[in-house]
Amino acid sequence: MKKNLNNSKRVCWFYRACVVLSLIGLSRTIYIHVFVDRKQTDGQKISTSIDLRYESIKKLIPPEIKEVGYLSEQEEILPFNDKYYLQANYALAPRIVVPMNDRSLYVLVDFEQPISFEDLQSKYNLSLLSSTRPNFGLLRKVSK
Amino acid sequence: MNIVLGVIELGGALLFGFGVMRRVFETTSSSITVKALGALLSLLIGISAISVLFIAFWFAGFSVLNASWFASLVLIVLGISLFAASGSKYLFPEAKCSFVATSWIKLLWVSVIGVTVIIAIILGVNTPDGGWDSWMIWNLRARLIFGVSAVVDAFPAQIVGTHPDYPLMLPGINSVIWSVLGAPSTISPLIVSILLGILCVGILVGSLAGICGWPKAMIAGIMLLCTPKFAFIMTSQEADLMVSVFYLSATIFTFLALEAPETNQKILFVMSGAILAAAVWTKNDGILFAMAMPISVFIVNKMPIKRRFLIAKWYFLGALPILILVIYFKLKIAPQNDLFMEPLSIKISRSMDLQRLGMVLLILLRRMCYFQMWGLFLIAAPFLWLYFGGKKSERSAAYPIWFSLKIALVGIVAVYMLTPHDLSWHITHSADRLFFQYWPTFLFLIFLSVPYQCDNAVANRYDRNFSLLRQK
Repeated sequence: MKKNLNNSKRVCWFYRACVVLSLIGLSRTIYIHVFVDRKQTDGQKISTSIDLRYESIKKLIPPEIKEVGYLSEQEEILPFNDKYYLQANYALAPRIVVPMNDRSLYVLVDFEQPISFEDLQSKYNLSLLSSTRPNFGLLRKVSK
Repeated sequence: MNIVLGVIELGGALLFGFGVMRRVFETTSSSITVKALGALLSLLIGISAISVLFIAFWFAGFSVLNASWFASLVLIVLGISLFAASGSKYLFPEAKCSFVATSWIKLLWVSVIGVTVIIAIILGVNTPDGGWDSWMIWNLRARLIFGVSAVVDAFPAQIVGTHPDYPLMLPGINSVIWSVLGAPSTISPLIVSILLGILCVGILVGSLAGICGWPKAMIAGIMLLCTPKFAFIMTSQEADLMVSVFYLSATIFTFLALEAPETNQKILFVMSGAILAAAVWTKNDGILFAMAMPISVFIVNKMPIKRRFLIAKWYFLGALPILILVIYFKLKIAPQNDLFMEPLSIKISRSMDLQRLGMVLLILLRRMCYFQMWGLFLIAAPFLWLYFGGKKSERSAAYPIWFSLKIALVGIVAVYMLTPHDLSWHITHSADRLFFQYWPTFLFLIFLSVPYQCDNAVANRYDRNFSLLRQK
């Protein structure tokens, strides 16, 4: 009986510790996701669907095009250094998006800063199909 | 939307899942807890099986739509056969204790579920595509599987950083659902992920309620739900949650097998093997625990050596069907994993570097104390482990599983020793998710190992001291 009572005491302390740990964990979750996240974005929406960003240009790429070129300020695309490159692949799948090359008929342009589309068109022999923002658009190679 | 295919898919998955569980457990007529646990495990088995079969048919050259049809029909046939078959089943070792939790514990439980649901809704609305890994790896792969005409096109090496060598359980589930919807959707992966979160909590609580009684189960459930970022992991749609559900389920089956009479052990070990293989088919990390569990059961066991080999054979037999698919994928389709790209000499020199070992341990320790992710849980975990886990307690069947966690921990350190990536970056970005994979299993073992008596005097003392338990 004495052993049982000792055990019950241990178990009581264990349960108390579990509940305290849980309440600390729960408080942290509420604090971060309800207060901190909102504060960081000034009450605005944190993010929207990735597909929404690419919706307008996705319609302009014919289904038979399997590969889309990509142009940004990154000279070499390394894992995780260009979030938008990876998001473009996700949004435009099953097409794959690769750094712009000679084969690229369609080119997705996604820069951090506003750019001159006229300069890009003349430099790479492209024509602008759509641009929803001054740093983002879809261009097509002009056939010679 | 193809409603007929949807009904056939759901019917096939449920029929197979319930058919399998019907062959495993015999439940007493009054036991709603064990029946609910059986239903949750059936659901897990059903959705895993349809994903595995779908990918197998797709690899064989079937279109996405045809692969979904054939996978569903095969599962219906298998499910009916399982329902028709007879054989010995295992009587679930239900808790003989009749204590129920007091009202304030029930209130806490309901509040915690409510808060988790609210947080999950906030996160689901704010990030409908899930976490970075979900859209970059799992859902991208599902979109490629759904959209390409040739299998090889779904694993393009040109897209840097998307891990085309990762297994396909989760992309398979999403593709199967999209074949019903007719197009990729961002809502269905979120629903699958939330379902996996519910399965994780439900299987933990249901198994502990069945084996130890409701008070322990409810506190374990509260701990899991209150784990910082549980809601985030549930809505981030990453594969780690599914791996954790598989680890937990395999642990439960192994534990039950080790407590079962010899005549009932076979089916439980086979089930455990199959579920461990499903973890391997979900994420490469699954290989670690899939090896650790059978090895530790083989080593930490008082059975005759012949029996141990028999158990190893049962594990292997259960795992074999899924392992064939994994091996085919790894050898014929997937590109090489980045861990194996470097020459052997570099790996050997890395593994011998004691300074690197010190760094790995230090960064891992830092992650364990990372309040943002773990609160104080992982700081408390080693103490709980030392206090409850290392002992050959009254539930000695848990002891080999504790040992498998030790092997897995050593394995995690070994993988980090060999990684070709920047050590700090790799550990910072993956350790939390790795720890989370084992977290529900750890909670199951901790609560299983807590001393437990079904004695009225003890119950009364609980009631006076803590108001936690009350006799029904």
